Amino acid sequence: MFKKVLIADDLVSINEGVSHTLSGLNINGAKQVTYCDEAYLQIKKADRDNLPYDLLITDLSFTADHRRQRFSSGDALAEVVKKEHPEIKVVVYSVEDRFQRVRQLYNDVHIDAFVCKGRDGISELKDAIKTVSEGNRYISPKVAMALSNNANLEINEYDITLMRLLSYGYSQEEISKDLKEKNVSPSSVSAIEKKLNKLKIQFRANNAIHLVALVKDMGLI
Amino acid sequence: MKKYDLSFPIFFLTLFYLLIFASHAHSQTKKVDSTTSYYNSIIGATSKEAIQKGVVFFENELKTNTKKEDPHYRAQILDLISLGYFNMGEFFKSEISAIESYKALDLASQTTDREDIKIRLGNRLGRLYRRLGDDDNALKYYKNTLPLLSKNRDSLILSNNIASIHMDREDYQKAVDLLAPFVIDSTSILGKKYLATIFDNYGYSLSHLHPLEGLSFMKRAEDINKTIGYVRGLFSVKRHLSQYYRNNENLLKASEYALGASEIANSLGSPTYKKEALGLLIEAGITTDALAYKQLSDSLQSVQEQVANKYIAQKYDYSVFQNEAQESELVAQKEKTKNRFYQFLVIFLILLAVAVFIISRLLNKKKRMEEMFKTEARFSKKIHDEVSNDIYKVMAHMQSSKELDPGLMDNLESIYNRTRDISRETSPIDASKNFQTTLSDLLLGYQSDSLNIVTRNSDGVRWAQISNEKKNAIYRVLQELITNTVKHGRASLILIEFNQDHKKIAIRYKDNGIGSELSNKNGLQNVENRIKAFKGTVTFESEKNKGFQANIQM
Repeated sequence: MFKKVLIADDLVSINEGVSHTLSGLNINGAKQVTYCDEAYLQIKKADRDNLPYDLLITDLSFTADHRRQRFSSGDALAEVVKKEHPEIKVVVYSVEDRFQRVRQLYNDVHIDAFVCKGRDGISELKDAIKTVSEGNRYISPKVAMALSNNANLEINEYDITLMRLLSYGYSQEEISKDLKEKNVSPSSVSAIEKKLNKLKIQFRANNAIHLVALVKDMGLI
Repeated sequence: MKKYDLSFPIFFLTLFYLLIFASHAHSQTKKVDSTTSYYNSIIGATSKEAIQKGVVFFENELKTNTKKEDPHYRAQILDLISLGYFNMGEFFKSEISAIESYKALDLASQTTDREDIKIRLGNRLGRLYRRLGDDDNALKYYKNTLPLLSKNRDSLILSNNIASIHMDREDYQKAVDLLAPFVIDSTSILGKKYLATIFDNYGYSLSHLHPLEGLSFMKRAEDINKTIGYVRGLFSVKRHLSQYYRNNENLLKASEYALGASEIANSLGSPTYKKEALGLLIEAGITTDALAYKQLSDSLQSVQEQVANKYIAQKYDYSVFQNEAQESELVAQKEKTKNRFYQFLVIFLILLAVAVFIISRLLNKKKRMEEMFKTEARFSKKIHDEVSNDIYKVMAHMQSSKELDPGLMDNLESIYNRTRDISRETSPIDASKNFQTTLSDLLLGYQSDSLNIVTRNSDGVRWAQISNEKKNAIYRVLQELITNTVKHGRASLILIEFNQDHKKIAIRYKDNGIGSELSNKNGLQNVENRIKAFKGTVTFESEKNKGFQANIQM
């Protein structure tokens, strides 16, 4: 478990909440800061003093005020910390739920966890800290979709052909034969079965009949 | 008293001109009609008025005809003009035209009639210099022309004319020498007129050397002229005879012929002839009516002057008329140019106005849209920063406290979610980046255990071709439609189908929800407004238990 933790959030009450959660995990004496630049200086100082932090929990949005900041957002802070001190684990704790931003932080900045603030935020944060401490990465279920392949949404011509043949009452063997005649591949029975199962999942259909009914209703076939 | 030379050349001229104009007749029938008529008026020498008209016509032709630059054509026309002037007695003008024609001929290519024109011009120049009293020049032109002649008759005419100069200079020997070959070969002379003229002149010249032999030739000429009834020839012979007898002191005979000449002159009614006849009578001593002679002389002078003046007047009239025509044409042209300028100006201004209108509309539209996006973004941020965060703060505070009221917490969360949704719906989209990803992020955001979204052909749209504004609108429209489905549809499945035709995007949006009465609920109204902003169309279909469908084209 983490020994030395830094919490960066411009809202003191949230800092307190996070600190409280950490206590529940037997992590005490977490340092709280309300500016990104301050967080950066803390990390640099601790590193020089040979007492480096091992976890940074940061928000993304910091309200700008009269103080000029080198790092105006959690994104920039996370990026510089990951670059200069890759050994420090970074958990982003934010209301942000736009997939693009989440994906960018997760895939490009390589943060260790992304936790959405919300009703379940505190409990998710706990899970995240545990997961990260075990050397894994964590992402809130709410934004986990951001990492899924967008091809999952799309159905193609092959899918349509398959479902149309199914709607004719063809068995998988008959579909295979038909596809072979039309020179469409894959045409093996096993490939067709695999694909149809995938489509059932995609359309959340209970069985083949349900699937055909659904796509017919949608005017796809 | 230079009446020895006669206007022979006309005969072979006529034939030639007819040939020229006939060859032009195919292409310019109408023109040729007047051309031929004016040509005839010059050649025919019917009256001075007719000749004048002809000359004016051809002078104008010279300025306006399309072939006016063609030297050969110029030479022909100038020759004609020269002839016209000559026949009118305007020798100076005839001379100028003839010289010009000569110059043009030098530039003209070698054609069959080039020599013919040269011969005519040479002969005419000779004749007119003679009339002007410049016998040296006359002789020069005659002699230059003589070698060009191949036809016997032509050289006869020219030789006769040269001989008449010699006769004037009382160089009778030369005249006799020149004419002798023709007299010896007199049987080959075609045309009694020519024969008579040659005999007349040869005889008169010879009479100064050998009076009796000369007299017999003159008598023969007199007989021929009498036989063929060539009155002018007869006048000439009688004049010569009268002079011959006077020279030989036979005043009786001299006066007899003088009277004969006078009779002919009176019958011709020509003052020139009358004057000459009167001169003969005076010389023959029949009359001493010097006064009559002077009067005739004066009247002749004034007739000539009148003709010249009349001609000048006509020419002046013509040029005045031409000036007026040109001026009025110029004014018309100016008016036309002015009108055209105004027309262009008006068209230009209209086009400019239309262009300015369209551009300003487009700019305005773009500006309005940008303004709209800015406002939306500002509200989004405000709601996010000020409302959502504050609510979250309260929630976080409550979570950390010991006594937790679950009902209160639920309400708070619901408010928090709604504020966050509003913020999300209006937050700015960076449409310039990979739009397909942006779009699928939007759809994935709604994907849940209870709602499934399927797309078709979303990768078939070339988003790079679509303007950012339109992409933004599509994003918002889909967001609005999905929100609508989530709120009212109770659907488990949404299908979004894309099609692209050039810069037009067609989208079919369908859910399998309960369907509902279509009403202009705020959401759908927004959808319609956004699509209309791009001149797109949208139709909504909804039937109970058959789901909701929107067909969009933009």
